[in-house]
Amino acid sequence: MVDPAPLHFGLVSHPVKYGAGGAVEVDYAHSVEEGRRYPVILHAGNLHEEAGTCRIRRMANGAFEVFDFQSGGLELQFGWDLADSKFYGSFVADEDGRATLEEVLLVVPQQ
Amino acid sequence: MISAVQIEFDQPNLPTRVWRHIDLAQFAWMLATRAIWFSKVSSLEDKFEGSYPVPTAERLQAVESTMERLELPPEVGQDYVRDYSGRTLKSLRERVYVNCWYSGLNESAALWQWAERKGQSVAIRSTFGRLIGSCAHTERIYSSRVRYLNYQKDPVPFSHRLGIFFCKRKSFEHEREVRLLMEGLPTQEELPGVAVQIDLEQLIQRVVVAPRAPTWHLDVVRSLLERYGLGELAQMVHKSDLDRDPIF
Repeated sequence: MVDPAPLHFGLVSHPVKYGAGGAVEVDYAHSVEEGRRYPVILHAGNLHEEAGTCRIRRMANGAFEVFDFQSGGLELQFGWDLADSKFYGSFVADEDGRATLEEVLLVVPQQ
Repeated sequence: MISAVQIEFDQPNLPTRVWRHIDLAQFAWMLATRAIWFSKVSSLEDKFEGSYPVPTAERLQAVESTMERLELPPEVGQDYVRDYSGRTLKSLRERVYVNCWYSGLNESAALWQWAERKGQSVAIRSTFGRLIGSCAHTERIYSSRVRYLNYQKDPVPFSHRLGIFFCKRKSFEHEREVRLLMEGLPTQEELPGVAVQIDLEQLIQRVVVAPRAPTWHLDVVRSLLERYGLGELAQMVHKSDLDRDPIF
């Protein structure tokens, strides 16, 4: 079990217009579906794999928090620096100004 | 209990008549379990199920080039960013489950022929309203008409990430499909499909046996209904309209 932790904004894919050849410039608001379990993708060195699921909630200050992380048999490995590991959100933005969370990255730096 | 959810998909009207063609073994399973079966998308016969039409694939290539790193640290490589869309979709095909119905006022001769490949079959007649109203499931169930696309020219018409699973090629337009969809958890054990409990009394308006079926076929269907405590539905068993005699 992992304590609740902040969800950092990892990356966002911008929508594009057909034939326009570029991204649509919108100011988007990040959104998450409370209650939904999001896949967590582990990134540790050369290892990239699904590592479980988590839920996301919005805090009073507007920030997002990862909680109820359930790992699918994730085993800690020597050399991982869990103290500095962080969760990042991958968002997909649409033309209406919504950036919807698709998955969560757990980035574990190597010592 | 009713969990069908409307997003921006193409919902039929509630009275829209829907049909499901199944073989006798599947019918008996449905009665015994009081459930309908949702098949995993990657296991469906049409390998284009859940794949990108060309314009959408091209769009996503462009999207990859417009991925913006926010706070993502550099140790997360460009590979992740580039593969993000495709990987998400392939993963989804393994954990999205669908249950398919034909929508139309009358029986479809084409679907009878398809169903007959599997052996003696029946068609269950219901309405879209009865269908979504009879599903009892705690998970979210999405529903929509299927949109038939020219995969060389037409992009996915739905913006929701699951919209691609409500699209098929134009070659299947005769199916006039209404589809229910469920998304499983990424960590869930890989399953060939999911059984969803259903209120059969609410669902079934009529059971039609295949064209040219012998009379004893009707008796078998009626006795199955009685056997599983659905005797009131036995009077709803009919021969196919395709068996009516022509007038010359």
